Amino acid sequence: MRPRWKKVIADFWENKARSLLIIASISIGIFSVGVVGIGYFVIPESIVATYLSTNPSNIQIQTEPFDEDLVKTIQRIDRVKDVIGRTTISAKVKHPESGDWMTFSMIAMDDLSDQHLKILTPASGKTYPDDKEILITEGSLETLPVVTGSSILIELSDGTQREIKVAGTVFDYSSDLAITFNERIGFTSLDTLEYLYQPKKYNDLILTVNGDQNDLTNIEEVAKLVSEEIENSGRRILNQSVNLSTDQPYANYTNAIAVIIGFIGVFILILSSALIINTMNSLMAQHIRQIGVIKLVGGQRNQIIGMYLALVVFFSLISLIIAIPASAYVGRFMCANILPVLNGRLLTPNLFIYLHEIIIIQTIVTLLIPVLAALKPIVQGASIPIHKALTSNLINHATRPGRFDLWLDNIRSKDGIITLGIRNTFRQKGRLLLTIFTLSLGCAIFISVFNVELSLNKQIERVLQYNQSDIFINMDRNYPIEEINHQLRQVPGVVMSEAWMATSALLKTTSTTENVLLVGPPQNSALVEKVVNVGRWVRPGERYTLVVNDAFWNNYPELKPGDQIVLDIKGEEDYWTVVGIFHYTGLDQKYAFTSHDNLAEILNSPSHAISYRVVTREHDLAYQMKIANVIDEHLTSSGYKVKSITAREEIVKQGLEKIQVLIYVLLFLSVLTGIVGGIGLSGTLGLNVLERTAEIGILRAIGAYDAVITRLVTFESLFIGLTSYVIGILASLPISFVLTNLVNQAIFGAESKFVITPKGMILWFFILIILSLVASYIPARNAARLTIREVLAYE
Amino acid sequence: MPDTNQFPPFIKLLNLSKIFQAASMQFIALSDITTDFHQNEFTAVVGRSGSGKSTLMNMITGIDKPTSGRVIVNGIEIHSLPETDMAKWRGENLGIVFQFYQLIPVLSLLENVMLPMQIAGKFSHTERLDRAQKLLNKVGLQKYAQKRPYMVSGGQQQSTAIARALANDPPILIADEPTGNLSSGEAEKIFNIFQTLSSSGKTIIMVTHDEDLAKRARRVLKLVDGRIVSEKRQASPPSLGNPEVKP
Repeated sequence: MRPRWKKVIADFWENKARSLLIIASISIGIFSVGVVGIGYFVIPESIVATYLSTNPSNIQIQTEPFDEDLVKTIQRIDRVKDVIGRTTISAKVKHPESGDWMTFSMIAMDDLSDQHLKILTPASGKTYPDDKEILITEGSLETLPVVTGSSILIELSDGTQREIKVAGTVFDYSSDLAITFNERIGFTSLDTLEYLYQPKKYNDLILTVNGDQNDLTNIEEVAKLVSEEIENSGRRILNQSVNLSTDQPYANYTNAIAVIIGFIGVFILILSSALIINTMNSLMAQHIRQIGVIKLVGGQRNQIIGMYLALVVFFSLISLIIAIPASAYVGRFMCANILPVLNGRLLTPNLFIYLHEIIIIQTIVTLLIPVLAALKPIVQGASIPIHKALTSNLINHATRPGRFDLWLDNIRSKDGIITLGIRNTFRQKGRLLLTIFTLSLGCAIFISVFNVELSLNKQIERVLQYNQSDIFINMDRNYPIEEINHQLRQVPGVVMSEAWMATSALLKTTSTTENVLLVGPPQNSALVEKVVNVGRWVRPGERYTLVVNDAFWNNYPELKPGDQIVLDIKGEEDYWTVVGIFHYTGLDQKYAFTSHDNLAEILNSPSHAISYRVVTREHDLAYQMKIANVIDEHLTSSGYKVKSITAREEIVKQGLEKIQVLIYVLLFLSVLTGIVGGIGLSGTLGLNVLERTAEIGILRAIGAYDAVITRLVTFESLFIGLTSYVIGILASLPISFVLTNLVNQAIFGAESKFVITPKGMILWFFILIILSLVASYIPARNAARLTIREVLAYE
Repeated sequence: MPDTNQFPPFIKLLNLSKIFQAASMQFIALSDITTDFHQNEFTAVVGRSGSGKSTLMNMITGIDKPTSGRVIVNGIEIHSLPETDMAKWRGENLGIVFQFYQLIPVLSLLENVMLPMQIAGKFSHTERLDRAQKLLNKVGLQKYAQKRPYMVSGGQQQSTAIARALANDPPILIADEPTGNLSSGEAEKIFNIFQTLSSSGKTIIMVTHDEDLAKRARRVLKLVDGRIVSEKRQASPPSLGNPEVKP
């Protein structure tokens, strides 16, 4: 091997600490790019692929009970590709340990062994249930801890109690949000309905369309044909929804995650590049003297450039070999943990995810950025006069300080080490700027995560201001309001109760029919804050007026107060005037408030109600659940039939769980950014120590002991860290603003109010102190270990 | 000037050896050196490159450890001290002057002189400031006190390094080729400073190549291949005087 290539290898091998630092700096950057890239591509792809694997429906219509004849009739429509009938029964299930009754949805279909629409994925036990058996969704197990082979006790709304054997568990990757919010779901056969004293009838029609299943117009046209056919059979449409085949119910969350990952990914790419540039600059700075020696023995400029480029490529390749599999593994781990929360799964069984596009980006970043970063110092180093190169490691007295340095001279501490620390910090300004840039961005992203979290929570609060009760009760049928309120007030812990008029209505447009939940709270309800974004609230005594949520804008983008819409309530179509629009959720659920008395009149039940809201003394989940159970038992024992009873915090918790995934992803990415920043800081300090070896020796010679040297390096680390903190806080404002809007747009389809919390700032402060101390630990220890003899060797 | 030998030995080197071990061979830098340095004594150590001069200095300053033998300074066996105690001891008892001055470039001359006092935690801030100014005054640099090292000449930088070495008022001053990088005029000035300091009671050990300069020290030790081959003492070395130094 030629001596110069031997030198390349020796440079790599003999200074192992520096080589490791360089490899770590490049690897962490490339690793982060890989993890982020895998998340960006794999999460949305897997979500759609999982969803498509179930053969999702395009149209779902809830109607009055029907049998197989109607299914066959619908199947005969040319533009209908496939159709099935299902029955959804709202029931209650007894918790096997606590004995509490909880809401439970049972879905029955004809033949679970031959599924062709909304196909379930087996998880454990049998793949289909026999008679008097049920399959439980995996999502139910969190709150309903049952094992395959055991039995659960079901109570139907008429009070019938039956034991059903759990035959196995399944994943329902096609379930929509409405069902997922009601987490406990079981699938059973139509035959089992007889055992439950239920008619062997369907109430849900589920179908796919021929032609383009992702063309909304096509789907809506078929929906209209099917609706007409159902209505011709004498049945009313109770609810209807249409979906594109790729329109996974969690698409908005998935989009939000992709947006966040993409947004932060760009930052991480910039940070990694900055880190690599810093490292390469320092590497070359340390080699200047050797370059002088090589030139002294006849080394030519091009040979020197070639040698050092080879060294850089060598470092890059090793980093690439480490970073690609590491990111493939961690990226897979991240996806595997995020996907289940979004009701998806990772389709690859491999432990590593290798994506060509990511590997190409990683390779380009790894080879191009270090080479580009090193090229300038390499060429400069190769062009430096021999004498200058040979004296480069001495303390450089000839360096002329700039204006800023002279200004810095005015900052003096009584402690000379502090003065020295401040001035040392600003010696390598380029390196300092890159390090502060990296740390500031990490800080800004971290702080932004908490601001985004707060804005999401504020959105939830905005939703809840329209539903401020602790417990929601749906009765089996209308009951006298006075009676039920009287019963509710007898339950200890109940502070107040209200009867709300509620009905499902159909919003009819020229092309489609959609479901609207229409509610009428009492005129002086304390449980709804009458806040609108546009227009005003419904006034007492008004008829056929309503305030609608912003989901109506999906069908009527131009909708404004004063406009009229057509609603079908129990077969009666009427014009309704929209008087206001409020922000509710981005979940596409159409929701509208109207006058209590007007709705009572339409429903023909002025003194009866089906829906009740209760306020409890305490508002935590455990208390709400406890009182909900007591109410359930109390009403049931008094002869009333409760269809469902739900604690508000349970709904909030389930909603937040999805949002929490976003927060975890954000936190993971900000921690990754912090690690990149921390390694950058450690690298900077390490290289500073290497460059100032002679000075540290001199300090030792004039009496500086280990603690003094450690203090000097640690001070510099903390100084850089705290400077980045101040800049990071300022930078977090625009980043929070952009990120908050991106996430809120993706989830809620609306801009959010910009909010700031000190939580991230306080947390990052402590993390930063630890990060700065950890980052300075090795450089400070190395500096303190330097003996004067080693230092004098530099002479 | 008093006869230094009337004082007990201040620095004692006993059978001092230093062997550098390389992969295939060993190099004897110092071989069984036994000698004393007395208080107020100005000693010049001369010898060719590789004779062991700098290694000897490293032994006395505690910068390097001997392979065998002992170094006792003012009754303390310095190589038995842990590194931290050694650094503190060095800060209190030794002033070291290097060939390349080795001032901290980001600090002014005044701050460079104040630094050892701050590290040792000696004196109040005002006293440090006052002392540093006096020391710079002593080496004729009072008007350059706020300058950074790069703004003054090599000789002035070395004068500052001497002032820094004196900051904690150590009894011993060790100088490794202090004039090696200076013009003859500047070297003359630096040497005169050392002579004046010696007269004022400091023990000075100076390594030098310059035999003419060495002859003007009270005692000259000559090293060849790690051994002391000659030792000359002068009853009263010629002093050229230095107008910049106030005895």
